[in-house]
Amino acid sequence: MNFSNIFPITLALAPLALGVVWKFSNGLSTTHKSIGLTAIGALAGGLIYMRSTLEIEPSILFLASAILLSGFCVIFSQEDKQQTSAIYAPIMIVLGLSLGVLLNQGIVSRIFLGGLLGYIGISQNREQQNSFRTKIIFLHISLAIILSLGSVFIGDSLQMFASLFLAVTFLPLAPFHLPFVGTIKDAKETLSSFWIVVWLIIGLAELRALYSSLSTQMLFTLSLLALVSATYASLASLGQKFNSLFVASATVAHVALVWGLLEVFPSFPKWGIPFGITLAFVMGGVSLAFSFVRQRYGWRTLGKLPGLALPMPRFGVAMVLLVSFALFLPLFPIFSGLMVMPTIVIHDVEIVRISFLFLVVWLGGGWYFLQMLHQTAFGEARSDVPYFDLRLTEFVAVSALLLGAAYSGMIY
Amino acid sequence: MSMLEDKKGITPSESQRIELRSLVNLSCEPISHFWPMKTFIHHNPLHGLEHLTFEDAIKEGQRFLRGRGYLSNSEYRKYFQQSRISKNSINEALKDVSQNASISIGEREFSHQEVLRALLIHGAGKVATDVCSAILQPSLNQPEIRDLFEKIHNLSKKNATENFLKGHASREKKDLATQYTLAEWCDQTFGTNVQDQINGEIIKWLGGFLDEGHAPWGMPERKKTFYKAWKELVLDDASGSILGIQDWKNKILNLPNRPEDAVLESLSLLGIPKNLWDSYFSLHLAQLSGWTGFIKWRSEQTDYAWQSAFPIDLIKYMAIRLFYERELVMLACQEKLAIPGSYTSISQYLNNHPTGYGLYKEFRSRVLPDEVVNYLNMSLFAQDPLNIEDLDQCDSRLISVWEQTREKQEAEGKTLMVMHLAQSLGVSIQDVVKSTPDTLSSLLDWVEQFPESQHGPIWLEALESSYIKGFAKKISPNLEKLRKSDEIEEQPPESRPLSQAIFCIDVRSECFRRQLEEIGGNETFGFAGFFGVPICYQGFSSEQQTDQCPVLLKPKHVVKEIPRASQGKAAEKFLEGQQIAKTGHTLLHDLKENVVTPYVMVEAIGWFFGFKLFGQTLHPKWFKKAMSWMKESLAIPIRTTLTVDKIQREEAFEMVATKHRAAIYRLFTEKYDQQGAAVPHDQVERLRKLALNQIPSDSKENEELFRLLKWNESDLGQFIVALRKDFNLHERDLDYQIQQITQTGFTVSEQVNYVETALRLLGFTKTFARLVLLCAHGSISDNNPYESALDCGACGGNHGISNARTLAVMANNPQVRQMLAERGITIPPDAHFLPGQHDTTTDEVELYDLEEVPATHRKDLLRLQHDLQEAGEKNSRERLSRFPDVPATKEIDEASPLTKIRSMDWSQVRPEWGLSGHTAFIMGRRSLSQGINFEGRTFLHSYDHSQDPDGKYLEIIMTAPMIVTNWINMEHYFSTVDPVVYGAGSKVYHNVVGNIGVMYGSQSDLCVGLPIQTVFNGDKPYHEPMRLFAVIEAPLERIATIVGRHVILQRLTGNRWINLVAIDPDTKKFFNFRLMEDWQPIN
Repeated sequence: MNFSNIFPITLALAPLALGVVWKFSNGLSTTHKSIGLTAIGALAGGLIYMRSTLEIEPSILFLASAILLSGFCVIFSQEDKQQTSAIYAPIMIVLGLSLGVLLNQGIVSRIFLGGLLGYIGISQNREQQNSFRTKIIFLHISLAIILSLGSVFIGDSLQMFASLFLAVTFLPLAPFHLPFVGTIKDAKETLSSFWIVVWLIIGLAELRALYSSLSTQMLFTLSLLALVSATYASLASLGQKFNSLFVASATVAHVALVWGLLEVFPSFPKWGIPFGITLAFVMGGVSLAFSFVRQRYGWRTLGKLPGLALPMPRFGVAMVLLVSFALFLPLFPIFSGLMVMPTIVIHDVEIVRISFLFLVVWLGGGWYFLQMLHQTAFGEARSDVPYFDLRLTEFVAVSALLLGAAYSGMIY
Repeated sequence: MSMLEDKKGITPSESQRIELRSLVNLSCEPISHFWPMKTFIHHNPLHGLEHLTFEDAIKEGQRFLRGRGYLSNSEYRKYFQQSRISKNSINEALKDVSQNASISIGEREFSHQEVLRALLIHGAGKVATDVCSAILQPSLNQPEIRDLFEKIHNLSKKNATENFLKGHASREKKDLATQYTLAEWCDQTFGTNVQDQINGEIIKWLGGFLDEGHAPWGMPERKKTFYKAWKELVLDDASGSILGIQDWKNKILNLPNRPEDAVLESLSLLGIPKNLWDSYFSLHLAQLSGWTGFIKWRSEQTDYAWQSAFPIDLIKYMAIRLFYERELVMLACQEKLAIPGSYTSISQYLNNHPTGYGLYKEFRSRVLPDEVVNYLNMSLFAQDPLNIEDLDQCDSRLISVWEQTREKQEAEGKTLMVMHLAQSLGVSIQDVVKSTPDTLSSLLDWVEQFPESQHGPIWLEALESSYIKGFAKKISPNLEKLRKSDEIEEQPPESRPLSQAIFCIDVRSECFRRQLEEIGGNETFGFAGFFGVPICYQGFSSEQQTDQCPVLLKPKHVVKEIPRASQGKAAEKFLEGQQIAKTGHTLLHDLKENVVTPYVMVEAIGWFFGFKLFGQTLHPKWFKKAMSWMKESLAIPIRTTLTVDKIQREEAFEMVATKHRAAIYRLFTEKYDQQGAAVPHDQVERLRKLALNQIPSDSKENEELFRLLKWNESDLGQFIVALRKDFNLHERDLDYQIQQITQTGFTVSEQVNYVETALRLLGFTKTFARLVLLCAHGSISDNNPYESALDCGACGGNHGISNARTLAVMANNPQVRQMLAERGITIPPDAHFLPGQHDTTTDEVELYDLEEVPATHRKDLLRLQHDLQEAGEKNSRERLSRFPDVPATKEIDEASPLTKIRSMDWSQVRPEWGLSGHTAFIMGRRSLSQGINFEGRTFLHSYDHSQDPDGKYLEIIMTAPMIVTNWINMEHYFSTVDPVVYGAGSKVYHNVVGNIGVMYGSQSDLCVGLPIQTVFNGDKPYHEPMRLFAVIEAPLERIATIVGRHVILQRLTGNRWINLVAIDPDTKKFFNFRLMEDWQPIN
């Protein structure tokens, strides 16, 4: 094993080890926060080093940076209280595992992916629910682990299907979205924001590796599935009462755009990855903002705590900016796709299908995002609740995600 | 036994209908009248509840109208922080609610009052149950907080009450039809919007029916009354079908013809028990209290033209409302619960399924705690209709887990409250934890018994107490001076001031009077703006008459404005010009409102409106000047006078006869030229009497006419017909004209009475200056539906100049002066009464009837005009400092131009503050208030108790101006404490509807009360809501006697709608009137 192999593994194992240590120790929250931020800084440095010395694809680095930024924002926004130390360990573990997936290849990457899926599975199983839904999720994850680990040893075509299964799991496409939705729903406090970014990043990485081997027929099937997924997820978002499920459904709806436009715009890494990262940051930002409110008031139901913009102006500003961004999200892939590369020949039916997909996502998104904004930021604030606005660190964290989305969507 | 039967199918009897109508009218008691906006009348929105105490009336208002009666506690706390409320005042206010008890926490002892004070000043710290856990969670790291929580939790377990899930059903059974209607119950239970649907339909129909000339196309069939018109027209309205009402048209057709019968039918279908009808009607009427108030007012106006033409009353309104409710409630209940939408079925449902219903309510309002979600199939809540049986039979563990969760949440809430209270009291949590369970329990009970919803009355009391003490302190220097001057036995001889001015009692006059007096040589008085002369006024060339008096009075005298004798020709030209202008205006209006012509009109003359639009917006002053110049060039100036003197009947007849003779001559010359003109006067007179049927037709006597004009009988007959038809020369017209003429004006003795009353009431019976200004007031603003609210309330919401001119004419009448002298009031011959009007927006004072001013008074007049101008400028400067949109740091060199711009700026939502900020009404000598800057917050009525030994004049003041100021005060009070329900919200969203009022947006209740811009400065109240302090300088017994004679005064004072304060003339001390014979000194 040479340095180019060891270094990425080390980069992944370091936060993983830190996370495991924190999991079983009782340290001060302030210490964990400082160490966590330092670790992320070091990891970022490591990535820069990798870029300069090792030949690593820019898109991979971009994906890894996105995860680092998300982790940084979540840790940075934490208050220095004892119980928040329970957040740091999972962040570090997941950070390590996901970096391991991104920065490595072959069996090593798969092992890390298996580890990540195993961690997700354990987290799911920890929640007391014994419902049919949980069983399906558990089965799904088990299958994903098997395919992830076994894909190295099976033939190319089967490997492709295994990768596709993992891709539709991590870049959630209905009906493969259940693990994603379940994870987001059950995530503690601000972890949901981090999970959204991690899931999508891993999914984008999988799709990036897989894209070139997808046949036309498969792309067609995926685009049909994307249409169904977008419609289903948009309708689900409209009716969602819980903020975590709302964000999860909205994410699934927008991710469908990626799958749907694969058929139209070639060179997925050029438009798909920036769009995916933008989407991850925007949804992660909304989820982060919601989690701050949930931490304060234990509220997770949309509409139960309206009018937050007045007593919590920072929250109001952040939410309005995030929603405004989200409303224009569907335009980005179209715009960047059209600008960056020539399209392949599109038949009439495809235009209808793609237009319909776009409209479902865009109009649906407009509807439910604005509805959510109305239920959350606007209206009359309750007089029996003492409001505390976002702290500066929280506001900076959300703003950083927003800026990251802006960079990814408009500049990169 | 009630005569009203609710059996379907039996036609109600007439007595049942009458009883129902009475019940509906009685149920409208909580809703006050709403006058059309053309003459805005300040009134108490809870006027119908004045028989209750102030606090109780507010509670009733809250129940029916959902209106708040006090400012938010946070606002009062700001006042406390600003030292507008003192600690002593709070202690005094708490005396009535505090017990003689104390608790020990740590080493300190706290009385009940101390704890209540802490709760008042710092709040109870009560937090909503659903967020308690999250808010407390961070603090549970601290051991003392954990201990406190445990202690409180154990206490709560001991005091656990009934199953809270079932509490929903039992509460709602009790409140149904008493606290809310069935439609409201549907909305709060199912999340429907039945109430909005009902209101939407009602507003649509009312807006059309009650329109008074605003709509280009009036609603048809209005003559048939509201109910019948609706019944006919709604058949073509698809809204019923759109709302989902099945078999819409047949249901309408099957409705009874009588509205009373329709009400009874709806009540029967809704199943409302008879004993709840009155509260149910009140709840319904309160839904759209503005529209209801207007219907209530209009139905009582027997001589109101619109009501006579298109009748409406509360029963017709109720019939339609209840019809919509019964149909929509039926729909909602069938869909959601599969039960009929009636009171009985809903009550039965609640009775039979308390657990399931409680679960459903908890799910809808608070969402289920995570702990219980596992025990429940969540899809049950999403079904339509609700499968209540399944919910009833939910896992029993769920109920206990839920109870436990709820208990825990309540304990958390109480923990937060105790933590907050500990901080307020300055004790540590450890001390609280160490205290005995009884102490903790007492503390919690005290907090429960004094919730924040009950703090309002205490704060108000404290605010008022602080205010009156400060007020008394402010006046005390003047009181000292008065004491010294009253003690002097020999009063120094009085000298004539340079001028005297009688202003309205309005608060805006207070500052102007102060400025005028400070200039020197001017003496001022305060009197009701109508100057004690209630008249029905008709302006020149106007067809409308306005009642220039408080709404409490009905004027008996008509006064018309007519051109002066020398202005005959000018008047004719003026009228011609008016006619042309009116025709042009009508043409323009028709062109704009027509369906097709606006398209062409915009192209043709749209640019002209652009001139107006840009001019008004960008440079209002310049635009106004240009328009004034145009008006002056085109208008014919007319000098007018008023018909104050009553014309005797004989003279009236002669006036009409002269008019008739002139008409006959005109007809003669038209038909017969010179021959006609040569007809002798006696023949003309004969013809006149023939036309009026005053003499029989005699052939012999007619011969002269026949000879002169070569007539026969037939010609005579035709001529008389022409006289009757074309010149209205007939008996009926004669009677009408005589009545009109003799109704106008006052007899000399009436004039003497009015002048004497006015002067004696003011204590103004000697030392008259050469010029006495009777200064009325009015306001000018642009694009302001509330313009009338800024005018004189004593003049029925109009400008008061006509009253001032009337009194001036009377007071200048030599005959009147002669009779006054006989009664002991000698007005010097050189004293001239001059009418004027103070524009409260621009502070300009315009003088009228200057032709009457004697030439010898030229210099006095000049001096007065100069002083008025100077006072106006100073007053504008003072007033401008109170406008939030005028920068505080700006040096105002010339204030008048700035105030003028405010009066002509059509975007200005606040041309002036009006009566906002008022607090007190002083009835006493001017020396009591002279020189004190009340900041335009005080009504001032001149009154000298020494000249009123039997209290006759004080009684007039207390039963008229004081009542009016109380109404003004209550309107401002309630508009401030609840700008949405009792006020009119923001002007920005107002739309004028039907020429009667304004709505919010495109469709809403009629906005009652004052807009937010009148009483608020941004989000802070500008007007400090307090009950009016009526401060009277008079012997206590005299005041008490007057109160005892009038039920209305007993109600207002006894029920604390007004704070009656007396200044004892002997001791110069302040006393607060509590009950009859109970005067409490104010320290």
